[in-house]
Amino acid sequence: MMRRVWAILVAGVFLYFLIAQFLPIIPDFGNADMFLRVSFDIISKSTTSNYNVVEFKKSKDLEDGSANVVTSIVANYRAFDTLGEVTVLFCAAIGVGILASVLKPKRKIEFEEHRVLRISTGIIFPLILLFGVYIFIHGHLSPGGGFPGGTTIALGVLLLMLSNNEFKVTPVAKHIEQVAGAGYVVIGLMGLAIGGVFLMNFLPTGVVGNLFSGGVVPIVYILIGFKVGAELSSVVSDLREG
Amino acid sequence: MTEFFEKLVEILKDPLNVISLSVSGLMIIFAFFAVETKKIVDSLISLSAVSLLSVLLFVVLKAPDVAITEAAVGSGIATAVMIFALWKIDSKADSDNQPDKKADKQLNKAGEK
Repeated sequence: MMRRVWAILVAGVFLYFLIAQFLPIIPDFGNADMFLRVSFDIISKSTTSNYNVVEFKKSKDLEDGSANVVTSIVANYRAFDTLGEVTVLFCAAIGVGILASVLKPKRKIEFEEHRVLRISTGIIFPLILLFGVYIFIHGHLSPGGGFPGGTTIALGVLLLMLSNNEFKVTPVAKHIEQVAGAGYVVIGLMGLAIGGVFLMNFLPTGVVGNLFSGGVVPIVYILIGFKVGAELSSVVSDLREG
Repeated sequence: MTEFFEKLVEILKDPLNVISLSVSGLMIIFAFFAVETKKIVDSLISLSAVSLLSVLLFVVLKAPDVAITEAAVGSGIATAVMIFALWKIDSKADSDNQPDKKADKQLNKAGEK
């Protein structure tokens, strides 16, 4: 009890000094002058041409055509980083699969089946699937991308598992994951062959704001979406079955 | 000291700031609950609640990408994976291999450990 009081006291004093020291220095939210910190070229996405103003649905042939700045960093400028991230997820899925297959008393986690849940899952599952696909296809236009889209699909599969005890993720999911992961590397190698840089954006970038814009970014995000969706579904299924 | 309080009053005039401060207070309460509770299932659920509340904060801070990812990963699939793993650990503990046990029984048993 005494130790807890001391811990709260120390944390309180620390927090007070932190807030009192740094709160007056931090500028108000949204009022920081970004042009002092980041290059104007990167914000306006016009590093290939001179300082033109980027207009939605009008500007074309920019260096990177995706309207979402986060996506243009994650899937274009730092695409190699994302490849490493996907590899980490792959290793985690392999680890869960091995661990689940090694566990000795195999007992499948069973749920009490309910008619209402099963029928309403049948209605809502296509909508969840559609929403996940929307998130990763429009990753270069609106917030989202391959990782959240794939996770949304995996959550739909989890809902199917909760409602139906006979439902099972077949090994097809693992094949989809392998093909998608290999496709990402193949796109990187195509960039190496055409432009001389691994994972280069070799397709035309199009008009900002159109569905077919951003060059290679939508293709990469569709592959990542399939890969993450299949991977996380099989992780949840492995944990349940094993 | 007075400077700090003046700044605080100025911050509290904006309703958005009041909302985000109360959400962060609720997050701290849930985090304490996750540490202090006896049942592991309860602490997993309160961790999920912390993720769900942080989604609101991310939306207020204009980071919708992170908000979508946190809603799907942090409060959805991570909680499911952890609860499944907890049931797996518990199913190893009792030796009788009864497949017809109900899920809520498993939940109670896992929580008591």
